[in-house]
Amino acid sequence: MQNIESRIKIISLVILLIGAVMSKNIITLIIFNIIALLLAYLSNIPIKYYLKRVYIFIPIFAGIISIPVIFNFVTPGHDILVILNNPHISITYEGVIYAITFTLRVATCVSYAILIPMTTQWNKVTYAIGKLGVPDIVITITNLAYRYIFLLLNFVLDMMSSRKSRSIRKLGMLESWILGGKAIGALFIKTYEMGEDTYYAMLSRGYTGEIKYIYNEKITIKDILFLIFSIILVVLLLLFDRGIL
Amino acid sequence: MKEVYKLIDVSYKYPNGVVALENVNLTIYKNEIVTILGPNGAGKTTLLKILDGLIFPSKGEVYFEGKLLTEKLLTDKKLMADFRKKVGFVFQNPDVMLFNPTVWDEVAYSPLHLYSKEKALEVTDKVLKDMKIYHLKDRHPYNLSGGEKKKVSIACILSIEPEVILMDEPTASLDPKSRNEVINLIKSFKEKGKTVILITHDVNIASLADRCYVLNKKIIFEGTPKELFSLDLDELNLDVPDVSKLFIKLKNMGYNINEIPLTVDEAVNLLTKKFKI
Repeated sequence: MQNIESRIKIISLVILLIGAVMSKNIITLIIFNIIALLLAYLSNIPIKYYLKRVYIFIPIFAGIISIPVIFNFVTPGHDILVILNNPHISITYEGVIYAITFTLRVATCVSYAILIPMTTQWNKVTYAIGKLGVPDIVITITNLAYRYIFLLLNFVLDMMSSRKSRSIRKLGMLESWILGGKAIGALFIKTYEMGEDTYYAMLSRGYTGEIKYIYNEKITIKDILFLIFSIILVVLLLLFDRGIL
Repeated sequence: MKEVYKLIDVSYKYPNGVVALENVNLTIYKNEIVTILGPNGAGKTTLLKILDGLIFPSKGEVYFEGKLLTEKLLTDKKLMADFRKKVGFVFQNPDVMLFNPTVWDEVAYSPLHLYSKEKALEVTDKVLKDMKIYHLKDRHPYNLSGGEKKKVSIACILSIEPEVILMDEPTASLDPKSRNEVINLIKSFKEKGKTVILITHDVNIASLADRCYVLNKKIIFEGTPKELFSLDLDELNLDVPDVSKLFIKLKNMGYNINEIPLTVDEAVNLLTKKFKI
């Protein structure tokens, strides 16, 4: 994937992602998932690391969110496990299938979305989306957010460490919340001041409101073939999903 | 000598009414190193922002190469580009200067705004190689050490080959090796004919200057580093190089010392002459 031109790569992965969103069948979603894993493997991404990033948090949360769907009062259908007789509460086959499909769909979407930053330098991602017509202001904000999110996160961690080093007992929940509020205030002031200075630094270096960058990547036959392959794959999988194939 | 900056009765008030600068008068000449010293909250950074046309004085006039710097003047795109090509500002905190996703993009930022794409590519690569940071070009600024960040922020300025370089605390929180690299860079700027205006608490950097100003909302001293360091600086809340302290102490003890050295090399020369080694 690293050898694919960034714009083509983003478009292809978005097409695959849309295909996954439109799939209703669990088998189709599993195939989409396997394709994502295969792409990660072929891109020399350590599979353990990839699986951790894709499957640990977001799909687990999606699974938790979809828990109510498995019950008969949300999705009526054939009971597979009766929890209470009066009132009647049970887990239905249709509910479980819906929850699995939903969780699998989220996992598949995440697995394609995560392939973009894992196989492309961030600047190439933003320049590519700029070339695809995303407004300059959105790209500037995205770049600044990507640059400063780590820095501010470090600031928060330092504040927490400093608080811990000056505390002599475990704080109660209310006290923690009050101190947390103060920390958020301090972070806001720091962010504001830093934002102002960053703007001055941009002005000082010739910023006039427009982004200028050099995009060196060129689309080759190999990129076009990858795009065509992705489109054909998605069409075939959707036809299979709808029972036409 | 050609005047680069001339400030006449410059005052600046923050929006909350706090006075940062009061009737500041100073002149900076071409190809000199000028240091601005002073305690915290003395208005030093505000003064540099005024010199860089980022903020404008509440009262008084700032002239750059004989032209009055005004907000209106810098809204003209051509004049603004000319001014930005001539003046580079290295901020104290390199993190505010490094806002792009990679070091290469960072160094290319100004050239892309001020030159053609071909020239921007050429100067970016040249500056990265000259500053010996080419190997960092694909790194995210967050992953750089303090010294590397400082070098990259200086490279960002050098990529437009400015005639005037403004530096706010260039050696703050650097290890000795990075500090010496920055000091050597400042010396090389002078050799290349550039004008350097520095804010610093580092007395070793201050001693590099041709002239220095002590600022505490107003200018309270103007002269050479030698003149400054032979004064009692405790009242001004300024430090003196250790080697100068030693000679001042010996002088106060009654030893026949006529000259106070600022650097170890100067001290060695003086002692060599004294003892005729």
